[in-house]
Amino acid sequence: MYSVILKASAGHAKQHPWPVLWLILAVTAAAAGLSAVLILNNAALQDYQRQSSLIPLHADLKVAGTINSVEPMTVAQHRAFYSQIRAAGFREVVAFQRENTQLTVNGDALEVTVYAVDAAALASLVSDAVPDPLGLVSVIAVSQDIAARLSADTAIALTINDQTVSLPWVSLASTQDSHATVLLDLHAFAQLNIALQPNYVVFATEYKRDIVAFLADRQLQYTPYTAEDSPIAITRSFHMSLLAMSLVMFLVCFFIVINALNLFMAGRSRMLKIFRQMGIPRTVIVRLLQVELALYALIGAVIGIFLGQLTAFLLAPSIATTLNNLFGVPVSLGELLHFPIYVPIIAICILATLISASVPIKRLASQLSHITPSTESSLAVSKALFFSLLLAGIALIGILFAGQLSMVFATVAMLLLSGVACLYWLYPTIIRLLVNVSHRTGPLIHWTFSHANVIAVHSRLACAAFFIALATHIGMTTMVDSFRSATEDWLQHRLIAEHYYYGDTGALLTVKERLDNEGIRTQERYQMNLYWQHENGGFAAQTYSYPATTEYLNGLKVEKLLPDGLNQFRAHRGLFINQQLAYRHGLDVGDTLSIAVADKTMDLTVVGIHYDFGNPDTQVLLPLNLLLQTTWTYEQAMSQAVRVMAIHTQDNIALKQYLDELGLSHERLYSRARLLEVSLAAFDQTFVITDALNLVTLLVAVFSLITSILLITNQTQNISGVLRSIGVTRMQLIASLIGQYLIIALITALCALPFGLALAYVLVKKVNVVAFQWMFPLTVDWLAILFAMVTSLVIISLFTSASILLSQSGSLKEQIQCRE
Amino acid sequence: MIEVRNLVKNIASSHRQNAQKNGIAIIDNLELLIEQGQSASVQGASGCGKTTLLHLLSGLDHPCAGTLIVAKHAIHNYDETRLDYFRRHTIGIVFQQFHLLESLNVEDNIAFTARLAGNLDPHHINNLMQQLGIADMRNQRVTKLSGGEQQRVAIARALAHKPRVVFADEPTGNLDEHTSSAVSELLFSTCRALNTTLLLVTHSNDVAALADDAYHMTSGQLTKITPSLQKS
Repeated sequence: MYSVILKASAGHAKQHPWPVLWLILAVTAAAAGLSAVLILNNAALQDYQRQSSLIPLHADLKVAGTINSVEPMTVAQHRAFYSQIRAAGFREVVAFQRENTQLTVNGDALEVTVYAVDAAALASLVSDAVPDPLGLVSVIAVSQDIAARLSADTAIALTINDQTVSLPWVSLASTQDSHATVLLDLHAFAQLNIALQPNYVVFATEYKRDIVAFLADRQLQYTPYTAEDSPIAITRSFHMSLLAMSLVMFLVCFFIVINALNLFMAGRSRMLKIFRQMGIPRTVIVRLLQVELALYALIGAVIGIFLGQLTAFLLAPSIATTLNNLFGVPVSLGELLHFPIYVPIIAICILATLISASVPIKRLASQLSHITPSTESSLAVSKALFFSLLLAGIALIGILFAGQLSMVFATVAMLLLSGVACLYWLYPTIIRLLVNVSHRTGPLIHWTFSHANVIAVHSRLACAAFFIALATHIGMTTMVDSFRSATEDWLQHRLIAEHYYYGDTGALLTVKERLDNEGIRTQERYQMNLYWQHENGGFAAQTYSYPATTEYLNGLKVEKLLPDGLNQFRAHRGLFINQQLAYRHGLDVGDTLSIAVADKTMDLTVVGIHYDFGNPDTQVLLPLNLLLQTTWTYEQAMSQAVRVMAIHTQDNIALKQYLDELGLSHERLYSRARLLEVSLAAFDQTFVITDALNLVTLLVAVFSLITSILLITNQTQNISGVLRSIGVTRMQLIASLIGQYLIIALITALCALPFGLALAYVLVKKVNVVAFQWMFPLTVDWLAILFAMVTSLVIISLFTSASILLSQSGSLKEQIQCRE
Repeated sequence: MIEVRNLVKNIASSHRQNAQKNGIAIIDNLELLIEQGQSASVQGASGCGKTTLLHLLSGLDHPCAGTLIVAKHAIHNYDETRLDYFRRHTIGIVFQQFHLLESLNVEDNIAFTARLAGNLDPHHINNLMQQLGIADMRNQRVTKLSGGEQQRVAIARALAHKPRVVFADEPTGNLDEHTSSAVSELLFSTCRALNTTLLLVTHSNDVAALADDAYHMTSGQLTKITPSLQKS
C-alpha cells in the first residue's frame, strides 16, 4: 500500500513539478539566509570569546572612579585599592589592562592590542595545580601572525603615547589566537615606566556580593564590565540586526512555503480522494504526505546550508571590515565551518515546513472525510481588521515603551503582522469598491475586478510575503537613506577646515608650530577621559576641546539647543554632549553636569545635544580653556590628548612639503573631500550586507508572487477559454488578466508604503536609539520608494504578461474544455 | 441559418504537417443545412467528432477544407479578429460544465454577453430570466445554485445578446433525468420563441427528439434520422 502511494506521489510530482520545486526553492532560500547569518554570527562570537579567553576570566565589574571625589583614580590609588582588596582575601580580583598600540618588529610597525595582566594572581585563580598557565611572568606571549615574523635575535618594541620601549624578554611564546595581540605580565609592564593608568580592574568571582560591599565601604564606584566593554556586548546590536534581517527573510520564505503547499495540496487533492475511494486510510495518506514534505524540506535545507556556507565565505571579509569600522572591534571570522549549527537549521526547516503544512493538511483531511471546509466570510474580513488594529495597538505600545532591543524587534514583528492582517482586510474591501464602481462600465472591466478577488484569496500568502518584503525594503531603505543623508549633512557641517591631520600629540604639535610660523591657521582638538557627576549618577566620558568661535559653533549639528546655548558655551558656562551620552544617561538640555577642579566643583549646563554618528562612545565638548581647568596641568593635558588638528588652508602641495621637511608621513593628512569620501565609503560598506539581504528577500517575494499568479493562471485557464468563446478578444483577455494581477500587486504595494514608513520611523526613532543611542531626522526619499515599488510591479507585470501571452498563444480549442 | 459544405477536419497527430495531409479525417466531406429558427440535434458515439463539429461551427477551430456559413458569416475565411466579432454578436454557446463566471452573480453572468456585444436589453434579459424561472435568483452567486439552475443561467447567458445561432454541447450531460428534461424543453422553447437556430450535441434520445431535425454522426459524416428512428 505504502509503495503504491509513494509511486503515485512521485509520478504526480514529476508531472506537476512547479509546486514541489517552488517549495524546495523557498526552503533553500530560508535556510541559506539563516545559515549564512548564523555561521557569521557564530564565527564572530567564537572569535570574541577567544579574545576574552586570553584572560580566562568572566569579567563582572570594573572600577571607574570614586564616589566622593570626581577625579579618576590615579595609578597610586589603583595600586592601593588592589593591595587592599587582595589583602582582604578576595583572590578572584585580578588587575588587567588593555591598550591598543603599536608594536615595532625590526623596524616594521604593527597595530596590536596589548593585554597586561597580573599573571601571578591569574595563575592562582585559574588553577592551583598549574601556576602561571601562560608563563607570563617570564615570557611574552604573542599571537600567531606576530610569532611568524620573529626569530631569536628580533628586536621588538612597544610604542604607547609617543614613548617607545624595547621589550626586554628573550623568551617568546605563541598563543592560539590569530589576532595581532601581545600578552604580558602587568607588573613587568609597569616596570617599563610607561605613563599609564591601569584602566581596568576586573573581577570574576562567586563572591561578587562581598566585593561590592567592600567597594561600598571604601566608597568606590564600580560599573558592570560586560555591559559596555566586551566585544560581544559592543557588537550585539549589529549581530542582532543581521539576525533580524535573516529572520525576516526566513519568514518571507515560509509564507512562500505555505503558498506553495496550498498549491501542492490543491494539485494532490484529486489523487488523494481517489486513494480514499480505494480504501486507503486517511491517516496513512496524511502521514505519507508529511514524510514527502519533510523530504522536500530536507533537500531544500541541505542545499540552503551549502549556499549559506558559500555566502558566509564571501561576506566574511566585508563583515570583519564593517565591525572594525563601526565598533572598532577586530574580528578575523576565520573559522567558518560550523557543523553543529547545521543540524538545528535542518530541524528548524523541516519543523517549520510541517507546521506550515498543518493547516492545508488539516483542510485536506477534512475533504477526505467529506467534511466541508470553512469558506471565507464577511466575518473573516472583519476579523482581519480587528487583528490588524489589535496588533497595531500592541506595536504602538512597543514604540512608546520598549526599552530593550529584543522588545523593539518584537514591536517591528507586530507592526509587520498588523500590516498583513490589514492587507487581508483591504483586498476584499477595495475590490468590492472597485466592483461596485465598475458595474456601469464594460462587462470585462467589471469581471476583471470581480475575478481579482478570487485571485487575491488564492494568492494571499504570496501577497503577504511580498508585502513583508516590500515594507521591510521601504523601511530599511528609508532608514539607511535618512542615516546617510544625516551623516553626510553632519560631516559637511562638522568638517570646517580644508585639511585635517591625524596623529599623536608630538607630531601634531610639531606640525602646528611649523604652520603657525607659515601663518596658516590651525585648530587642534584635545581629548581627556573625565569623570562627570549628574543627579542621575556619575559616568566617565570622552571630553574634547571645541573652539567657541562662530565658525565652529555653526558647524556643530545639534538635535537640541538652549535658546542662549551658544552664548553660555562662549561664556564658559555650558557644554555640549553627544546623543550617545544623552540617551545612555538620560540627560537633556538644561541639565547640570559637575566636575572636580582642584579643590572645588565646577557646574556646567548642558546647552546642546549634538549629533555624533558612528561613535560608540559618550562625548562632552568644552571650550579649550575650560577643559584645561579640569585637568591637573597643561602638560598633562597635552601628553594625554591631541588626536586631530584642523588646518585652514587649501594649499595641499605646500602642506605635503612641510610634512616632508618635518619627516612626517602624508598618509595621515586628509583633505576635506577625501575625508568625506572615506567616511561615506565606510558608511556604505556598513550597510552593504543588510541591503543585500533586503534586496534578495524582496526579489524572492516578487518571484513567489509571480509563480503563485502563474499557477493560478494555469488553474483558471478554462475561464479564459470560456471568455474567448463568447467573443472576448485575445488582447482584451490578456489586458484583463494582467490588470487583475496588477490590482493585487498594487494594493499590496500601496499597503506596504505606510507600514514601510512606520517601520522606518521605528528603526530611526527606536532601534537606533536603543542599539546605538543616536537618532536622526527621518527623511523620506519618495523617488527611491517609488522606484522600488514600480520596479517590483514592472517585474511582476513583465513576467506575468510573458506567461499569459504564452498561455494564450495556443489553439483556442485546446484552451476550452467544454467537457470534463 | 447554418450551411456546411464539404467540410473536412483531420485530427492532428504527433507530426502536425503529416496530420494535415495524411492524418485521420474526423470530419470527412460533411454536409449540413439548418434553416433560421430551426433546431437540430447531433448524436453519435464518443469520439466521432460531434464536439469538433461544434468547435468548427463556432469558430473555435479551423477546418482543413470546406465551406462554413453561419448566419450569413462565411467563417471558414475569417481571421481571428473577425471570428471574435462573430462569436461576440452572432452565436451563443451552452457548455456541459456550464462554465459560468463564478465571481459574478446570476444577473451579471446573464448580461455579460449582451453588454460585451453592446446590445444590452434589460427587458429581454428580464423576460429570459422569467421564462427560465431564475428571476428570483438574480442577485445570487452562481456557485450557490444547483446544477439545473446553473444550466438555466448558462442558457440565458447564451441567449442574452439575441444571437442568431446557439450551439449546445451536451447541455444536460451533468443533470439528472427530471432536470434534464425541464432544461431541454426550456432551451428549445426559448430558442423557438426568439427565432434562434439551435444546434445541439447530445447522447440523450429524449433530448434529441425535441429538435426539428435529428442527425447521427458516423465516419465523419452526418446522417439524418427519420422521425420513426428518432422516436425509437
